[in-house]
Amino acid sequence: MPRLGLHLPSIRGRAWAERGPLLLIVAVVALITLVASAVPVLMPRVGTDAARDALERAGSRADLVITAPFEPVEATLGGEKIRPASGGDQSMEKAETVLGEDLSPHVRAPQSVVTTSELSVGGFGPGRVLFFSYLDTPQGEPEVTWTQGAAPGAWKPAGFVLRKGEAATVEVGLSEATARELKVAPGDFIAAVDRSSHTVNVLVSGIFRPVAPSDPAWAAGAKLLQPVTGADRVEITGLLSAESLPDARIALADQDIRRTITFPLDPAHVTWAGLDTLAADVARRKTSFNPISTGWESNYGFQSGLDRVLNTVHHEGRAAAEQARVLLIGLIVTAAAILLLTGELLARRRSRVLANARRRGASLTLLGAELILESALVTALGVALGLLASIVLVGDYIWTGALPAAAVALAGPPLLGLSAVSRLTTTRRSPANRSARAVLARTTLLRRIAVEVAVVLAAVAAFTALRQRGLVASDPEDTGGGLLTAMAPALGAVVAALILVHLMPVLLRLGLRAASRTRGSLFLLAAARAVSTAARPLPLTVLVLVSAMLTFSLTLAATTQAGQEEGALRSVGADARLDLVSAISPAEEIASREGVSAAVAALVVDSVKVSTIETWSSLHLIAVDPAAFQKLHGTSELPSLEASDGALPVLLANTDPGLRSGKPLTLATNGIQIPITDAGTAPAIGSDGEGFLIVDLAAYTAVMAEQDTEVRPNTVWVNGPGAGPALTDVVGDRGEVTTRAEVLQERRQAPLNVGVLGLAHACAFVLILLGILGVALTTAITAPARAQTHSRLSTLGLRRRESRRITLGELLPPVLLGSLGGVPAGIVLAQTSFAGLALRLLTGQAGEPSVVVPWLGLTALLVLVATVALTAWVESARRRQLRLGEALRAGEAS
Amino acid sequence: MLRVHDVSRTFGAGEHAVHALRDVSFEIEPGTMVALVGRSGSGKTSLLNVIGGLDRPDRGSVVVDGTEVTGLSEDGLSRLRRESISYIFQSFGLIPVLSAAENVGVPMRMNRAPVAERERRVQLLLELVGLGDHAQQRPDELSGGQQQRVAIARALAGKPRLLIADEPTGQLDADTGLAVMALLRGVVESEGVTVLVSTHDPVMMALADRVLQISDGQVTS
Repeated sequence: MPRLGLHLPSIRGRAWAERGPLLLIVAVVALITLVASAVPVLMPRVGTDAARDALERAGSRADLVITAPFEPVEATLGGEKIRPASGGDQSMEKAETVLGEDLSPHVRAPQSVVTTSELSVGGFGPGRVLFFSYLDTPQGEPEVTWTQGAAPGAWKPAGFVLRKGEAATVEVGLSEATARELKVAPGDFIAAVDRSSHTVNVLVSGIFRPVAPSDPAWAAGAKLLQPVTGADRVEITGLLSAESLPDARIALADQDIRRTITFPLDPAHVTWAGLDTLAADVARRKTSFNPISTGWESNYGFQSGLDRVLNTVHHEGRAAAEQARVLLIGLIVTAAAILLLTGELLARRRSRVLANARRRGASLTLLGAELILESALVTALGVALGLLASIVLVGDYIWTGALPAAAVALAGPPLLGLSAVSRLTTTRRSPANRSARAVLARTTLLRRIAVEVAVVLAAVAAFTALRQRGLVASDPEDTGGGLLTAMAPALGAVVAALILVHLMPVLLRLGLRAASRTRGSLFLLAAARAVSTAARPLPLTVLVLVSAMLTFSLTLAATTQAGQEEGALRSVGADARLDLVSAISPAEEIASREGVSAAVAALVVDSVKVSTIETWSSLHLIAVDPAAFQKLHGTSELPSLEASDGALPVLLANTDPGLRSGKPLTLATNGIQIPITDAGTAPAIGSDGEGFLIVDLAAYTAVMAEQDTEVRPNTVWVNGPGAGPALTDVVGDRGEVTTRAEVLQERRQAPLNVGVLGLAHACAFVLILLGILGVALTTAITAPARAQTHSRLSTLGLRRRESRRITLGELLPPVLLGSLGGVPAGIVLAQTSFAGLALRLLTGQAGEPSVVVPWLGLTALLVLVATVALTAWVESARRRQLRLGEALRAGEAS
Repeated sequence: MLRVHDVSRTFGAGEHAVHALRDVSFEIEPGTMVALVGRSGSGKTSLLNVIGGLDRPDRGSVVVDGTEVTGLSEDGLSRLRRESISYIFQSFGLIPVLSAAENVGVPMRMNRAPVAERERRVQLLLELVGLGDHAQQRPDELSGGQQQRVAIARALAGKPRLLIADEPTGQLDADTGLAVMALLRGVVESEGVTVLVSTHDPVMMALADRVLQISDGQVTS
């Protein structure tokens, strides 16, 4: 009698009998659910960390800065200035209004700095210029100790009227270094003259020493602590107090004194989710800022590099997210193939039981419902465990990531089971007519070809989109590639698997043909078994996917790491770089130090204008000795920089093609126009990809000397293992030292890099686990047929050890072909897709990094070979437990 | 040629113990064809397995061509199977991807026979079983009867002294089965091999020199 309802005891019994494979499905679903639901949770957190890290590194570039002119000093009708009661005005309140409700929550309390235009100073040596500065922080004026004298006081009381032509007196404090430079003491007067030739009497009230020089408040007034020595002048700054500031206001013209209000960004209030909005708000404020359109208040200004910092980190974060998505898709596709393989094992093991159930009256629909109920429970358990693990490990989950693997686990095993039952129980007659049989075979072949062509076309479309648009578009408005584009590497791996699936039977038959010409039996029997099992595409597909995606993941990690090294080198320019503050280059002294192989001094100017009659570009200028520069970078010989037609020869790189049209070129710097000529292309240096030109330092110095301008190198590049320590020892406080090792470490510790590389390595680990599972499942699927064959061969005299060798010979070819075939596939996938993944955003290079294959890491695939050897040994040991007679009986029954 | 003495074999223990063989003793002369007859579950396969060394008896001894089978090690049994005993099964047991000739040559490959000698004997044996023209065909291109003939040729390839056939005609129709039995009869005559064949078909028994009846694990005649 036909069965009409679900038979729970049958479902329970079947599930218990096959608890091993079912638990395997639970484990794989749980693992993939964990990874796929935890990574989307982690990415915004990593993005937030990256944004905060970038903001910390950006320092003052991320500040919101409002420049506010002072309200004009009250004057009499005759134009005589009336001393205000205090230095303060309404600008601070106005600045806070300017920020508005959207930006205010992201900033810390503002710091105000009052600065003045320069005053010429006579009698203290040539080229001395004086500035006044007043610092005001939320905690008040930065704390100082008056080592001599006292803090500046008020020269005149409030309401004092300064007559026209009368020189005002302003009291200032000087740092110890500044006082030493000027050789002054408290009570001394400095006669200064402003831009309008008005005299200002500057009274030194005291000499101070900062209580905490590292206090960030001093960052805005660093010139207060140390005179700044330039090429042709020395800048000195005197400290004003709240009491002496009103005197400075009547002593100077209104336009010569201004307040800068700096709102430091608080990184703690920046999140990945709000990054885009914040950047847009800042950009909008920059373009639309115009609080008062007329009068003195029109000189208000708003500047910030915050939007650029945020846009950069947002771009990098999106690139990292897309790279993570590509890795995850590869992992999920491989896991899906493993789940199907487990489904195939289940189908084979229970096909007879299910076929008997059908013969006893259960319909295919009913059996399908029972199998779906079972797989739903198994899948739900796996998903629940994965989500639970995600909550435990990362505190949250995003369940949508688990859907693809769950769908395969839910539908795959029941469909494969029903297909096996259907084959066993449906008496489908083969047509007697030969041409009808051929038509049937052709139809089956065409169906398979159609599926394979669809996969290939999808892969081609995905790669085309990836290469043309990339996953991360440079235009922030462009969302870049979609899901299909992110699937490109995984689809490429599937295509590689299809190729090898078609190739393997051909290779094995060639092997079988060769084996048939041998004298012994092992090669022939192993090849025969291998050919028998090669017809199933899924095991080889799994192995190729594992190998290709493992290669892809590890190559991505290795390429990124190598790119970071290259990026750090390009960024620094050598093993270490000194940015000089002092006018004296210590290059020769550094070169003589132990552990230094080369030290090259250069003048680097961030922005010079290079133009033709038709176009112009802003480029970096590097004036350096070409031979020393070539030796430093180990590049091939540079084109000659010898002057030929009177123009200064230069090497250009990354420039507007219009500059290289052959038309006469002009270099403009410091108001000086220099005719230059294009002598060739400069070697790739620097990490920002911006254009630059290289010029011979000696020739440039000579040209500038003709214009009465002295050229002093401001950068020293040093190579050698002792470069960093040598620079630090020699330089002291004469400049800022940056080492390649520090930059590299900084990049490696950047949250996005840590996140992506961690995920790539985690994916590689999980892929290896899936590969081991794939080998074990393949062995389990083919085990019954192998046991039967080996039992029969044992009756012909096959020994145990020979049996083990034949097992190895049967199982190794697909593993070797899958592993070895997957490696070049993974490398090709890396080479064709990395350009679209924008790895340069994480490596800090100007262009995409060269693909680096981690050959040592790929030896992890040997684990799969070891798994084959282990399973062959275990299978042989298990066969030994079974007497041959029992094995043959089992074989007859199966 | 074959002496079975007081052999017993029990599967399981206690209440669920199944006594497959009980004190079985008999002898077979060389160059004879003996049919082992009994119903399904009577112990035919158990007895053939013990004789061929595929299973070990709980008690008793089996001597094949002067060799005590029950005392042999795994390697010794393998050697015995390569040199003295061959099997034919109901389901043929051919390797699907190998041609008929390659299947027949497998035992000779195991003994590392020279290629030329192997090829000569394979051709001889295929002609003996009437499949000289089917040497390059694979099992799935042959009928059931032809596959069993290939299996017989393979069993003879190692020049065995004793050929054990377990229901060799079980999957064949009556005519084909009779032809296979006739072939086995011919092999006894031409090769001088001793054949022990289990069957429950009375027609087949007529071709045997002797019939052994087995019932509930005991040989009764």
